[in-house]
Amino acid sequence: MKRSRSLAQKREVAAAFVFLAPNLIGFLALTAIPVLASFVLSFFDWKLLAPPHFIGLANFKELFSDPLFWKSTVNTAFFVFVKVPLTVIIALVLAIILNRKMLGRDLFRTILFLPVICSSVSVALIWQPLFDQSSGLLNQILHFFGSKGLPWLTSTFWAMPSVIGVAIWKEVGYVMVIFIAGLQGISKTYYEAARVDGANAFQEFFKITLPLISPTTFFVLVTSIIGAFQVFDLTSVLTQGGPGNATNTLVMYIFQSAFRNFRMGYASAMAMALFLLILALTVVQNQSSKRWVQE
Amino acid sequence: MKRSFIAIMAFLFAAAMVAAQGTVTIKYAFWGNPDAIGVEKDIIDQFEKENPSIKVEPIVSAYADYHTKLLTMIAGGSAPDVMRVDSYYFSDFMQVKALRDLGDLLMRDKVDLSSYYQQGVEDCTYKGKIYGLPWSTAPLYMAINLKVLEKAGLKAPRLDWTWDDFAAICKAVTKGDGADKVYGFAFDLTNISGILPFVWANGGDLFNADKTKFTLDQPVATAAIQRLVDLYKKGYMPPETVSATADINTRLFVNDKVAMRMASGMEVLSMQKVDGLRFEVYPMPRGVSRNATVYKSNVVGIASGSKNIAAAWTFLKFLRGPEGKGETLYMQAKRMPPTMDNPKYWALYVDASKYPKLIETNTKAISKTYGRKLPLRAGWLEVEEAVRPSLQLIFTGDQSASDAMKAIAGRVQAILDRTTDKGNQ
Repeated sequence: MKRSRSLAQKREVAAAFVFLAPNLIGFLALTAIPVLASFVLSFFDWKLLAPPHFIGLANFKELFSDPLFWKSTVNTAFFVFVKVPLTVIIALVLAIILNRKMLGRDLFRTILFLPVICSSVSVALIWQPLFDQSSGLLNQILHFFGSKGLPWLTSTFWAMPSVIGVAIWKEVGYVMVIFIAGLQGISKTYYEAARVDGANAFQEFFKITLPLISPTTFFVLVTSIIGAFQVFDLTSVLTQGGPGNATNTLVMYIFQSAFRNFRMGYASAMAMALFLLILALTVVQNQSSKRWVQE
Repeated sequence: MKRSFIAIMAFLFAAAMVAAQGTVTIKYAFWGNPDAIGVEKDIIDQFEKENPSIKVEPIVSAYADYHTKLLTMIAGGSAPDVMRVDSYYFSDFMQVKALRDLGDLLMRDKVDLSSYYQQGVEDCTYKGKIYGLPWSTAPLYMAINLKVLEKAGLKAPRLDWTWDDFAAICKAVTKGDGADKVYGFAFDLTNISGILPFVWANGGDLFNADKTKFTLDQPVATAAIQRLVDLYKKGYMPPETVSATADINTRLFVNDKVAMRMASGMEVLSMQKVDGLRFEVYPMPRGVSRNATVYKSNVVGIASGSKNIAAAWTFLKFLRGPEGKGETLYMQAKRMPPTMDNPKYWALYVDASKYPKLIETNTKAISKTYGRKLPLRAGWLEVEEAVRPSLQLIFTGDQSASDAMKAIAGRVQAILDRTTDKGNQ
């Protein structure tokens, strides 16, 4: 009896591994091993054509004195800490509006979600002519109101806000859908009880809605920040990191170092720095969540 | 019946094995868009017809990813036997001996290198040895839209035109407002080749003579950049110049929104397909120096680790040799201007009924008198990545040319020091 139970258990374990294997192999081959390899490579100088040679911490020393690394870090941080809060706020407002019963609600939800399913490259290609300084639609609208128009992508001041605007347009639908799911999880009895006590709409929002969707907000903030730190495709197509490195982000600089300048070791060191930065921020968010996220 | 069937199948299998043993398969790597890939396939088909014992397996990528893919293949030990390398990358490849020295093969088969334009042979040479045969040796022309000039009451400039002629055309042609505005000149800052002609014309250069020192911060160079930027500030160039690409400039040019733009052989080919577009190609305007037109080639060579040298060389001679059919097929497809100064190739390439009608005359004049090679060396692309944002800052008005180039000089010098091969560049 004991023997047959142990055999049955082993068979179950084996079956579990068999079913997990495709995902596990994919994860190991395409994620875990490359990440480990990148970590090891960050201590080497490797130009692809010549064999790698060990240089210790030299890549990291060069990194910390590289002004372009710091410029791209600041650019990335600006992108993240402007884009993410704006996306969350706009998505939450849209979610609250589109959580009510109204005519055309499903149509509006669909329209707002459509940019999410478009590839970032095609979104950037579509927006590029809209930003055109002489004939773009945005400046045509501004001309109509008597303005001279703005140098959207050709000004070091306006380029990053333009990219942020496109990024928000592309992703607000996704965050809105997550918030809608969160809002539908709030029991209506809370709102009924609040109305009985004489609460107005603002009070309902700040005292009931916001606290009760805090787990959703936490999830959205963490995933959005992690995703935003890796911005690449929008800046690559819209501005190629310009003008004058104004929209050059960390991942763009990693890509340039690895695949334009063929400095694999240096690019790996930068990738490790980005990984540690995102990890540190995620830990901070996790710790801070104990104060404001309601379980 | 069953035994007969097995016997026949066994015979066929054995015959296939024998045939396969006599066939060599080589890999040929190149870049291209759908138009370009068609002519490469034609060349391969023709070669295989004439050389049935050699099969050519094409490895093709879009240009943007091509050299990365090539380097990955070389690093992984699966380098193609024959490969095309852009001259921007050539020195980097040669620092690690990626291509085979062709000297012995060229001598043995008496390949006449004087058939090629000299700039093409130079671009295939590293430390005095030849590592490939030229591909697409051509200038970076100044394309001039004749209709836009005529509307402004101007004639096409003479061959020996100057910076002052160029600025005058920019001023005379620029008219209108908003989406209807017509500009004098469009160019893009995607690579340094766009700005260097103006620097050369003024007596400056990107590097010193032995390519070990950055000299774009010198007054002769920054003055040239600044006067080009001054034209931009006067509105003679499109506002999108800072972020423009060649495709955007092509769109402006073919829609008669700009009088002049810089154009490579590929861009000339795409503009020729536009019905009704009348344009000519010229050298760049000269200043104190008349050698101000970029003349560039690419390299097709044999991998140093190739195990099929004989077959690869046979294919390379067909593809790029003076007696090979590759150049004929390229000219029939009008893929690029002739790499060899041979009347038969020009006759195939030029379509007398289409513009630019002066392309043969002016290309030869550029080759003899107005052309200049880029100061290519190892680390070229890294230098370009460093300099380009600074050039953009000059055009956005954030910095003057002098300040921008001085600010970037240290970084570029560090790149040069790190990537310098201790022999020549």
